[in-house]
Amino acid sequence: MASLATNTGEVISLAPTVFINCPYDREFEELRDSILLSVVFCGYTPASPMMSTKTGATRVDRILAQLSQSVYSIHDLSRCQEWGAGNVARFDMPLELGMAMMLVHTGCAHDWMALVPEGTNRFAFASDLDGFDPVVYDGSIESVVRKVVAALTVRPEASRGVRPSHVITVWPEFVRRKRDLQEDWGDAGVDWHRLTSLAKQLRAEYPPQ
Amino acid sequence: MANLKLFISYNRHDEHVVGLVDVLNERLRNAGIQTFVDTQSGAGRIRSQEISQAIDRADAYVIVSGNEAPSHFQARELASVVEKVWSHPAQPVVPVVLAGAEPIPAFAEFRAIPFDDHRLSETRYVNGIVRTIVDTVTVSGPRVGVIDHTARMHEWQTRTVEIGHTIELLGNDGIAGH
Repeated sequence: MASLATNTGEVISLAPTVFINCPYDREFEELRDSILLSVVFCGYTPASPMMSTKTGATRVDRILAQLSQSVYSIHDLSRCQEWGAGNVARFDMPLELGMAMMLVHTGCAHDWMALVPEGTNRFAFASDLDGFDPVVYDGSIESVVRKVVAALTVRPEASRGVRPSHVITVWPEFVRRKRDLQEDWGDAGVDWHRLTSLAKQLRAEYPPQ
Repeated sequence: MANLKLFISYNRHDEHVVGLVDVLNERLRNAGIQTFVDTQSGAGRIRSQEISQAIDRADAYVIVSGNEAPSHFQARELASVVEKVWSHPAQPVVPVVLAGAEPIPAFAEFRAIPFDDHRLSETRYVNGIVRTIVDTVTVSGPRVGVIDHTARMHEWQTRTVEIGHTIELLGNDGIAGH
């Protein structure tokens, strides 16, 4: 694992990064949070297009930079069909999946998984993914945690001994503390960094055995 | 043992493990074990369905790993194996790891067999690895069902004794050992 020496001489371990590309609407909030918690429990730092504050770069540039600095990316394609008040399909997620696939194709040390909800005709809406088999989950927290932990713990840099049950056990506490944070800081104040810190704090308090 | 089905997972792009997998596959088949090894490159829906079915039907898994990270397709195989083992904790998994390489974290709890890819031409050495795999996957028998953690620990302690006995019988030259 890479490390960073601070100006006080302290050495900080830098966990490898996993880029999470999923819907950011309220309806998907719990699934997104459970993916973030799973990523942290497996020993990674989650990254998101929402966390970048870098100015002077296009959103695509920022996403490409984050993707190329991540060892892995998770792409949830749930919104690639008519959805929401405007009844539109979202193309951000497949666009970013395409960027990740291109990174792999050009030799970057990167791998990815695509998540699709059960019942989706994935072969019809993304026939180019034929043979890559997006990972199907049933829309529940338990299901998505199981798929993400399974995918990450087979990677060489992952923490040992992590099971979905570890994440599921801690999940209610994560929800409770997130609610506390929202009361203190408001919804907007509980940003990606704060959620990541909360997940890391819980991992330190409830380490996988 | 004739009905035992073994799924062998490896990274086809890792030159250090390909030679071992070829030899293991041949020797295990000669020993009467049905093996499934994905030797084809590239992807395809039918192929991935075959692999998925093979993982589902397997009684035990041999996970061969070297210094290379799992490829995209091996990672998908391994994730499926991990989920299968979570659901059926008694199913044997045998990590076979290139000497000096780290085992795959998801399988770190299983006793790994280290191997030296420079010794694959030594019949006795390879036979030792094959014998250890066979012993490990046949001690408990296939599909003994879900057991609790304490029972599983006891089972693995028993297996460790059995493997130790195999090492005694074959000697250090006959086994890839610590």
